[in-house]
Amino acid sequence: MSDLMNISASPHIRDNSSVRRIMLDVIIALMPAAIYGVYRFGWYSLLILVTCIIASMFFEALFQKFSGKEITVSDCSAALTGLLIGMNMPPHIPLYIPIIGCAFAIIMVKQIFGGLGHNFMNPALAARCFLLISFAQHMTSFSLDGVSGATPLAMLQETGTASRETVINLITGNVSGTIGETSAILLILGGIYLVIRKVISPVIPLTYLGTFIVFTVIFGGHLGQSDFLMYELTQLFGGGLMIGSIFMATDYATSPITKKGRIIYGVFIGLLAGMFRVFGASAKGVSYAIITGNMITPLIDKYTCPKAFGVVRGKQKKSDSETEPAQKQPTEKFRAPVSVKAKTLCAMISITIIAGAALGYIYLQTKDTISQRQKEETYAAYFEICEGATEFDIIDADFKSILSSSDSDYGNIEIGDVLEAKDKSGNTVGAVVDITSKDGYGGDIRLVVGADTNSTVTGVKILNINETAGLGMNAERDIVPQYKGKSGHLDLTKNGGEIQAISGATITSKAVTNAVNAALYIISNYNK
Amino acid sequence: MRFFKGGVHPYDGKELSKNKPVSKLDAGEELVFPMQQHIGAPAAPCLKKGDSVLVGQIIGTASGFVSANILSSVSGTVKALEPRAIDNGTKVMSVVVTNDFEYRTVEGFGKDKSYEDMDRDSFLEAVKNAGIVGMGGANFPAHIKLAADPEKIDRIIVNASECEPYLTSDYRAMLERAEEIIGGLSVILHFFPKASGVIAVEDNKSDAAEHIQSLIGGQKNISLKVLQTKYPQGAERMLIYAVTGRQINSKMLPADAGCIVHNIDTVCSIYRAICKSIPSIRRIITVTGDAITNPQNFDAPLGMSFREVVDAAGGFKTNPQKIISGGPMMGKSISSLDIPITKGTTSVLALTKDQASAKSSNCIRCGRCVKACPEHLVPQKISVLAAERQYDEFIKWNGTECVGCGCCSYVCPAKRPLSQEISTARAKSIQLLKSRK
Repeated sequence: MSDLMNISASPHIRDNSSVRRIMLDVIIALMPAAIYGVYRFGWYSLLILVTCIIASMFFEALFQKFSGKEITVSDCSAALTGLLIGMNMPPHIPLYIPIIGCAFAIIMVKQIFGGLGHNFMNPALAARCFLLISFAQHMTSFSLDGVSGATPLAMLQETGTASRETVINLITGNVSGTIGETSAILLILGGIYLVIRKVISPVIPLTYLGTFIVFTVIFGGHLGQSDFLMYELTQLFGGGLMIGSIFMATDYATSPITKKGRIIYGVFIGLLAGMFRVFGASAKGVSYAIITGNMITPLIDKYTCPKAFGVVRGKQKKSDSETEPAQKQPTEKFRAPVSVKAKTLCAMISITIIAGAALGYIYLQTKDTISQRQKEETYAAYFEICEGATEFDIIDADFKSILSSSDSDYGNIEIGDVLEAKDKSGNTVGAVVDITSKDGYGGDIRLVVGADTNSTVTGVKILNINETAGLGMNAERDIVPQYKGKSGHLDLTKNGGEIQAISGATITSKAVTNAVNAALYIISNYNK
Repeated sequence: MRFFKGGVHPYDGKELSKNKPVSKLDAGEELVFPMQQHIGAPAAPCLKKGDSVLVGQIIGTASGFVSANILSSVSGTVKALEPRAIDNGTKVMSVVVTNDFEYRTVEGFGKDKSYEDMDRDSFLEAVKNAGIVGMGGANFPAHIKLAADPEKIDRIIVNASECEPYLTSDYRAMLERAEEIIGGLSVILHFFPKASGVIAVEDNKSDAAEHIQSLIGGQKNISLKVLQTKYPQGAERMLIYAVTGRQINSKMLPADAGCIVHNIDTVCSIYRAICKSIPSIRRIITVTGDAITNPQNFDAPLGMSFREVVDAAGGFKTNPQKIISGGPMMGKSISSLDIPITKGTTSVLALTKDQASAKSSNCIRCGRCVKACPEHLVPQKISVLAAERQYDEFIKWNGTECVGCGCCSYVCPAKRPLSQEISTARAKSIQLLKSRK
C-alpha cells in the first residue's frame, strides 16, 4: 500500500494551464500579422523570422548549457522572443543583425538576470532598441515593392499632414515598416484572441492607447484642423504602437501584476509614447516608452499592494485598539516606511550627485581633447572638399552683412570660418565655408561647402547632423553628392530647381540647400 | 447576486457520487477515537484500559476553553490508550475501543426532547456535552460559536455551499435530511431571537435548494440564499460577504459581523443532540475519486478506519496515486488508510493522477494568482517573501490574511507551490506577531 501514497500539501489539483501553452497562444496570436508580413515583403522576411526564432532558441540552450542550468527551450518563451524580434526587423535587413539582436535579448537581457520571468526589460524590445542604436542605418531603411521610402509615421513627422489613403493603407498593412508592425487590423485580431484566451488582460493596451490618444489630441497640434481625425488614426495605427501595446507592453515579466499597477503603467507609457512621438525627433517612441515603463514596473508593484479582503484601514485600527494597547506597537513598527522612503530618497539623490560629478569631471578632462579632435576633423573636411589645396587662409570680413545684401532668404544661418584655399605655389584655387543651418528637423546641421574660383561647388561635407534616422539622416548619402559641380542659386525640384530632395525629409533637404546657397553667395561675394 | 472577487472553477467531479443516497455503515471490530478532533486543546481521556463503553458515552472530556468532548460510537471495551496516526500525519493520544456489536446505549440516548423550555446555558451545555464541532473541516467547537452575545447576532448562516470539488455529503444531506437542517436552524434561532436564518447553497445544487425551499414554506425567519458556484464560496469570509455584504478579516470573528456560520452537518448534529438526544458519533462521508470502484456517500460511525469505508465502496479499481482526506483543494493527503474517521472527515478521495506532483518552473508573473486570490493578496509577491523568510514584509503585504484556499496554486501555469509556501510563512508570522504582543 505504501507505493500508492503521494504526500503533499493542498491543493491537490491544478488547472491545465502551462507556461508553454501561454507562450504558444501569444505565438498563435502573432501569426496572422507575421504571415501577412511574409506575404507582403517576400520570402526573405520569412527567412528573417525563422532565423530569429532558431537563433533565440539556440542562444538560450547555449547559455543554459554553459551555465549548468536546466535547458528550458521547450517552454517556447525563447521562440516567442525570437519571433517578436524578427517581426520588429525591416524586411531587407542583413541576417547577421537580427542574430546579434537575438543574442543580446536572450543572453544579456533574459538569461543573465535569471531567465524566464526575471528579465528587467522586454527582451525583444531591448534588442530592438539596441539594434536601433547600433545599426541605425540598416534598422531604419524600409522598402516596399522595391521602392525605398519613409514609413507613414515618419512622413507624418516630416510633413505634418495626414491623409485618408495613408490611414487606409495603415489599417490594411499596405505600407512600409517592419515585418510585423504593418497591419494594424491583424495585430488587433491577435490581441482579441489573447484577451479571449485570458492570456492578457485588456487593461494595459486600453489604458496605454487611451492615454496616447488623449495626449496626441491635446498636444498633437491638429485639434480643430481638417485632418485631425486622419492625424489621430495615423498616430494610432502607425509605427509600432499596436504591436507594442498588445504584445510588448503586456509582457508578464516586465509589467505590473496588479490591476491598479497595470493602469498606472499603461497611463505612464501612453504619456511617454505620446511625448516621444509628438515632441521627439524619432518616430520610434513606442519602444523607448515601453522599456522605460519596464524599468519602473518594480516600483509600481511596490506601491500598489492591493487592499486585502475585509481589511479596512479605519476598522482595522478600531479592532486593534479594542483588543490590547500593546498590539499597537508592532502595527506601528510595520507602518514605518517613511524612514525607509527617506533613506531610499537620500540614496538616490547622492547617487545622482556622485554620477553628475563624475560626468562633469570626465567632461573637463576630455574637453580639450574633444575640441582638438573636432578641429582636426574640420580641417580634414576642408582638404577633402577642396582638391588641390594645400593651405587655407582665414578670411576676416563681416559675412553677416554680405549675406544680408542677398535677395534670397537662407533661413536661420550661422556662418563659421571662411577660408581661402591655396595650392602649393600660393595661387588661390577656391574657398571653403563652415556654415550651420538652424532649420534642421532635429536641430543644427553643420556643414562645410567648398567652391572653386568660379563659385562652382567642389564638395560639401556634413560635420554635424541630428535628423530623423532613415530620413533626414540620409542627407549625406542622398543629397550631398548632388551639389558637386553646380553653381549659382540652387533649389529643390519641387520648387523648380535641380536638387532632388531626400525622400520623406523635405525640411532637412531645404535646410541643407539653404546652407549651401548661403555659402556660395558668400564665396562669390566676399572679395568684392 | 453578490459574489466575491477572485476564486476558481475547478472540475467538480460531483457527478461521481451525487446521485448515490447515503447508506448507513456499521462499525467494524476496532474503533479509534483520537483525542484531538477539533481546534484547540485535546480532550482528556476519562477511561482506563479494560473499561466498558456504551454508545454515546463520553470517553474524552474537553480540557480547555476551546476544546470538545469525544464520544464513543459503539459499545464495547477500551482496548488501549495509545498514540495513533490521524489524517494530518501526526500521532495523537487515542482511545481504542473493541466493538462488542451490542450497541448498548447510555441512558436517555435517542429520547425526544423539546428545546422550547430549555434555557440558554443548558442549551450550550447540551451542545458541548454532545461534542459537536464544525463538521465542514475546520472543526471549531460549536458551543463556543453559539456562546456569542445574542444581542449582536442578526444572521445564522448555514453553510451548504459545498464548494470543494468531489464532495457530495452536504448535497445528500440537503436532499435526505432537510428536516434536520431546518430543525437545527430553528433550534439555534430560538436562542438567537434577533437573528434570521439563512441557508446558503451554490447554484449548481438547485434541486437541493428547491427541496429546502419547499420545506421552509412560510417560515418567516428562515430563508434560502442561492450563491454563485465558485470555489471558495464556502469559505467563511466569502460566505458572509455573499450573504450579508459584510467583510471580515483575519483579526475578526464572524460574530463581529453579526453572523454565526455553521456547516450543514453541524446544524444536523445540533438538531439531533438537542431534539433527539443523539450526540456527535456519526457523520456523512463521501468516498469518491476516479480510483474508487463505487463512489458513494456513507453515514459512518466516527472511529471507523478509512480502509473500512474504502472497502465498503468496493475498494480501488485502479491503483491510486494520491489519497486525500477532505476535498482536493484544502484536504490533507494521507500516507496510510489505517487512520480513523474523525468529526472533520468530509471525504475520502482517491485519485489516479497526482496533479500536484508537476514540476514547478520560474514564475512568469502572469498575475493569475492575483486575479484568483479571494483575499485580494498578491500571492506571487508574498510567496517570494515567504521563501525568503522576510516575515515583517510578509505581514506588511497582508500575508497573514491568507485563508489557505489554494486558488493561487491551482491556477499557477508554472505550477509553483504558492499556497504551500504562504501557509508555512503565515504560521510563522502569526507566531511572530504573538511573541511581540
